[in-house]
Amino acid sequence: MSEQVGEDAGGEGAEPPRKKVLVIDDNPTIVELIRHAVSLQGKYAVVVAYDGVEGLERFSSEQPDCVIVDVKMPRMDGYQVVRCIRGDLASAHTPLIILSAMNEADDKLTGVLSGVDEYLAKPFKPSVLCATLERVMQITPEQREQRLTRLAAGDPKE
Amino acid sequence: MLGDPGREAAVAADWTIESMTQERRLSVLVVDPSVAATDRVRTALGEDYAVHLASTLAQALDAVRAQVPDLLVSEVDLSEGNGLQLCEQIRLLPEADQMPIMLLTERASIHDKVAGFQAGADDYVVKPFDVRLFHARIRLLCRIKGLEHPRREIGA
Repeated sequence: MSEQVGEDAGGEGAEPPRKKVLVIDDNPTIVELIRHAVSLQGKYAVVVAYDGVEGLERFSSEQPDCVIVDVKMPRMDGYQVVRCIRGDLASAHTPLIILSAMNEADDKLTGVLSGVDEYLAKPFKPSVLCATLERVMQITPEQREQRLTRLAAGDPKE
Repeated sequence: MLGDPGREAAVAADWTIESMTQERRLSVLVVDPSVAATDRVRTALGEDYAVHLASTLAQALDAVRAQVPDLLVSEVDLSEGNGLQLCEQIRLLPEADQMPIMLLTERASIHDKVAGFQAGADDYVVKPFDVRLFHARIRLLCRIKGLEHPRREIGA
């Protein structure tokens, strides 16, 4: 399954090591769509998990640079996964994206308040996912902390 | 044509300032057998919160039954009972089944985190914690529970 087309593209000579993205989603079809989209640029290696608990296990063993996580999953939902990652100083500043079909305003706000950097709707455009991935990888710990502090204070713009 | 945008902005700003200044202090029940730990939490929470303390499962349940706090922060390892039992028993109390619960513990294994959420905790923070992030998470948790109130059970 790791022999995905495009995954090894662009690996010439002294390229910097590819960043690792963990995808957590209980739908294997969606996982492959995300894997394909994220792998296209050749900048990222993708590891996957199919529920929240397996996601945390993979997070621990793989130490990814970014996580893309669904919300509704067996055993542990995406909000809980995000809170677990944010609640431990060892992982608190990992870039996190929720990619979910739950797109009510309250769902999105719950994700953002849980600490996710971006909340994307399914169905998604690969180009939008890639642009979002680039954006969250640029967020500094200071920027993330400032945003969480603003959200905690009840910033109505968020 | 919409209303005057300048006026709308001013009203929104008034509302924000009003809600910030009129907000009453939130009550937090901190459950931890270690005095050093409760001191750290109290210091981290600062002046914005009325902090109450308990060190055992029984004390914590009594305190919640007497008056449901706005938020509960509990260690997993208590001197009698544990934080998971506390979560489970609180979720059986109709008056406190929506109360935000944060587990704050040195236990950092995935097994512990999963068990914490399964027991009914809403958040799980590993010690040692960053004071500013902790303070923010407390507020964020209160906002999340406000959203969730009408419809619990997001998980599978």
